[in-house]
Amino acid sequence: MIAYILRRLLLAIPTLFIVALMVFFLVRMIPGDPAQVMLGEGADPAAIAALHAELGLDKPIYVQFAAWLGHVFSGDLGTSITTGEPVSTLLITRAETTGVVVLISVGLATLIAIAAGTVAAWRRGSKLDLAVMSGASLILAVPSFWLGLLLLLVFGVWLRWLPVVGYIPFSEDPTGALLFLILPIVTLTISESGVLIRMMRSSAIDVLRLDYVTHARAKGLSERTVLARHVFPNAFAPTLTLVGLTLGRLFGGIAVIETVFTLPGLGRLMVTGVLSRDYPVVQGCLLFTAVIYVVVNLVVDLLYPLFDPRVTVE
Amino acid sequence: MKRSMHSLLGFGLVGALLLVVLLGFVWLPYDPLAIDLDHTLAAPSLAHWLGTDEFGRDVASRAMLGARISVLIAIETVAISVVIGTALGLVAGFLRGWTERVLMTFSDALLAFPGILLALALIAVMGSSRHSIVIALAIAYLPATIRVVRGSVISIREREYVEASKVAGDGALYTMWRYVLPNALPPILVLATSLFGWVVLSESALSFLGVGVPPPMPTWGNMLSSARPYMYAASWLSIAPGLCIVATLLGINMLGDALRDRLDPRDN
Amino acid sequence: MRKAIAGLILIAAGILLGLMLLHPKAAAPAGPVLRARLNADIASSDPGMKRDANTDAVLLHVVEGLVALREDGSVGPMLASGWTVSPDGRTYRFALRHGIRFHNGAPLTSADVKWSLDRYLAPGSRWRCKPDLSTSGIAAVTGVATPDPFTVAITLDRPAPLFLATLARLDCGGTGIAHRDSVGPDGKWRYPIGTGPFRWGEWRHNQYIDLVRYDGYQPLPGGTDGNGGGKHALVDRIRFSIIPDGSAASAALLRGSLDVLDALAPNELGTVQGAAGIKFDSAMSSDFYCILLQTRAGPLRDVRLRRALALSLDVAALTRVVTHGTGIPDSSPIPAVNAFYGPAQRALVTRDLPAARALVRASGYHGEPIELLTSHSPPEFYDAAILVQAMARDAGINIQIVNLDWATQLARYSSGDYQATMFGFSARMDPSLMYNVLIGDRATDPRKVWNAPEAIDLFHRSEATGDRAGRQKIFDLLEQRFRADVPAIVLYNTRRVTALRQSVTGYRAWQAQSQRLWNVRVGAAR
Repeated sequence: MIAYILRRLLLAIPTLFIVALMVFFLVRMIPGDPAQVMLGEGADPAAIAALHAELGLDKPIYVQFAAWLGHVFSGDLGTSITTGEPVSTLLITRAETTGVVVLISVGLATLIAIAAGTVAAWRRGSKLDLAVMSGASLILAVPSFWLGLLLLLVFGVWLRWLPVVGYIPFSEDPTGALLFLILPIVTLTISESGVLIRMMRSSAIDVLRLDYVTHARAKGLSERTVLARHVFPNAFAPTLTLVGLTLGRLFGGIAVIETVFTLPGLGRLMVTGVLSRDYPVVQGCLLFTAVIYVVVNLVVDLLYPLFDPRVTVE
Repeated sequence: MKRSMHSLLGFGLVGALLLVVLLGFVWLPYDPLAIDLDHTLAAPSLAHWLGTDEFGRDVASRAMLGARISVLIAIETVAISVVIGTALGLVAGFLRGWTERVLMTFSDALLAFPGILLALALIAVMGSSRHSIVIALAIAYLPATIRVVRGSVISIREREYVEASKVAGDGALYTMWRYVLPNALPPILVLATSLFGWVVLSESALSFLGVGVPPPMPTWGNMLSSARPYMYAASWLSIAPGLCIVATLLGINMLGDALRDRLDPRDN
Repeated sequence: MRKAIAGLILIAAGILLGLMLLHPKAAAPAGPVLRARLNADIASSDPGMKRDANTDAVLLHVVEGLVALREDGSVGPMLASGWTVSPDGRTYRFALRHGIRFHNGAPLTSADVKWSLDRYLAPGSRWRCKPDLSTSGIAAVTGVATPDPFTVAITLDRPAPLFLATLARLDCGGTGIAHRDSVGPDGKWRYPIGTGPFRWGEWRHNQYIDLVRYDGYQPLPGGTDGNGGGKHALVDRIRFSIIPDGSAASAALLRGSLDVLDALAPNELGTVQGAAGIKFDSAMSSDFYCILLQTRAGPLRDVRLRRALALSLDVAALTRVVTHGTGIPDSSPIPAVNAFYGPAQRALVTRDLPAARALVRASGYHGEPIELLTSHSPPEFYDAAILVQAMARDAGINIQIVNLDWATQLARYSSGDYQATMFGFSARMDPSLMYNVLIGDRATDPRKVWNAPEAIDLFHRSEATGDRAGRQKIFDLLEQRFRADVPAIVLYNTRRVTALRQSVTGYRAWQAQSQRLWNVRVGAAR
């Protein structure tokens, strides 16, 4: 088991290296000069050159990359060019925001998907199934940022039940923070449940056809027991994979939702980092999300056998 | 019965979209770029069916033009992604071994990027234009295409006619072209329809973030983006473009589902 | 299986808990606090060195210079009670006020002034005004002498009527005098120890900057007068919260977590106007927004086409829409609030489509696309670009908008790599400073769009002349040339709008665009 974990981690390293390489060079290909942005429109060339030297931007690019890699392995992700803050601090603060929204939303979406998908599969062909499938189709067709805008419009502008913008760090004031997080969490939960419902329903349908389900029913077990103890665990595996992929993807991928609700999250950090040529921030973020992606998928792969006894960890 | 209703609805929506796009080539209610500073932020009325925006431009005309732009971008992106992805997936799935290992490692590396950011960075390098969006999105969706094609190629190559071809001494390229590719087409087609939907969605998200098609050309995404400051004053600006996106995606998804049902009857 | 789910939940909870514990807590300030907003973190706490507009505004609460800008843009006393200029115009003798102490208790002496000035002018320093006070600028400083503890004598290599105005410039940190302990024993800047009404409190990056009342402050007589005048710290503490997003800031104000919302974006006005408990203060800014044109190559190198573009624009309508009614159209690089804004500058270039079309034809332009760079920072750039494109289209000029991010746009501006670009210049008090951003030798400084020899000559004369009437004549001539050459098309000046809670009294917006939180009180009712 340990060997398997280690092997998977080792296999992830070349992927991560290529990611780091791609990121590093890609960001530098963008025209524009971070020193220029920082010093503003009136700055004279000498000041800009001095800032270049100070930030290490005047060294050859492979030197910069090697230096950065060396720092990464010692835990130092550099400092933001625009704010001077250590990138690692930035990441942790921003990841907290994104993390709260993503984890809660995906958790809720998974629970909804399990319930709706299983029931829809169980009552396949009925009006309930039709309703669930149509709902899922509709959800898949609605852009998450538009959903967010609509919810803002209805609950923030028209009804004035919830604040339109604002943010309090979760650690500072959990209840206050939740007020601002309700709309983004609801938006993301709805958006992500569509594809999860469909996946859950599809695999539940497959499982419901299998022999041991018939056997379980023949044994006289109640439908609820059959569904919960025999159908769900085996049908959940592919959905779990999807949940893993979703979690990995969303950590960087909710930039649009963060923009709509002006949340200081990882996605927006990356967007502003790209726009202001803050290389250390963009590199750190990408590495961070790539690592999360790999780790989450690893965890999912390890949990898989718990749900599908046919699969063994080799 | 449900199934045929679904596909009917799908065809209907996509058909309506195409109709609007084609109509837009010859007639639009107003010039989508014409400003009218005396009639800004007008509510929907008989004169302007969907109202006007902050510069007095007719929203309905802009939505129609936006349809054309979004559809064209999606078609181009899907074409490029599918062609390149199929080629690479074919090679990876058929040849296996080191070729596959290398290709898949690069593909996985691309996957680890948050798609939005990859597209953002690529567009920042190439500049904001229709071409750069197409290329950026094509690259972002390449791993998905490669994966799907590779997956089906792996199972196809085990089939008898492929074996027969190998025994007969046909070259790898010939076998791939003559026997593997045609049988891989159904899943590729299904993927293409899903891809189309994803691209429309991604393009609108990128436009929303402000890195899409340059002004003054409208896309549904950038119309939503410019509507944000006017949520209080002119809420209809936030609604119309979104509805267009939803209708389009709904139609495409339903069509995709119908296609999948026809080509892969396992779900029966 | 149930255990697996429980395990997952535990892991998730553990992550959340861990993040919560790691997150640094922001303590709420105690006592009467004035809560203000910055739209971005400050660049550094070292005045005039690594800075931007927000940095200047904050630091000018903490440091003061020998002289300071007055409300009307002229220069008045600050740490110097007065000064004399030698007959040859090259030596300025400043008499320092007595009894002034730095925040660390040390008394202000001429030695401290010399230390600060030497640091600004040192060879490696990044002081914004160093190029201006060099041989290639208005005058080079040849010596800073301290004949006695309360006199400072600065000698220049030539007379420079703009010397005092340069010292008072906000973007140069007001040439603020800091105590030498502001720099650590390792030579690195620590934090500013100045003489201002507030002292440096805490800077939590990307979250807030706290300034604390300095009880030992010696105010000048009078009330608010620019960066000088009588400055009184009427609150215990100022917290500048960093809220980049305009709508988030408006929401914070409406909710009651902000007292002063400076730089309210024009497109946020609608959200905040009419809300209970909110009032406004505003002032026209001494800035201008324009379209810079590439006169060296491309279709725009023909002056007729440039003039045609200028004549195709309805500047008044554009300003009204783009600034949501807050700005004022202006065709001159001299801002409308400036003392030198006279009849010559006031004449607005109005739309004349027939003349524009005629000029287009005369120039032989055949519809080649002209790229206009713009960005979303500020949003007005973007809106203006769209309007310019639409209006120019009526005259037959084909403008293509290239929407960049601010970093790229700034880079292209700095390298002169554009055909046309939207641009804005923040508040500058003296017209010479405004023309300075436009006039120069493009070969050495690609940012300068106007290199006509006559313009350069007039510009230098404007710097060298002290006589008001004489300068007005020079500026009028420059205005004429500017409209004839059209190296740029000026569009409007902005109005700086500040939204305040009703309980805040004493705040005044001013043409220099910086927020001033001295003499401001927060009432009991919040």
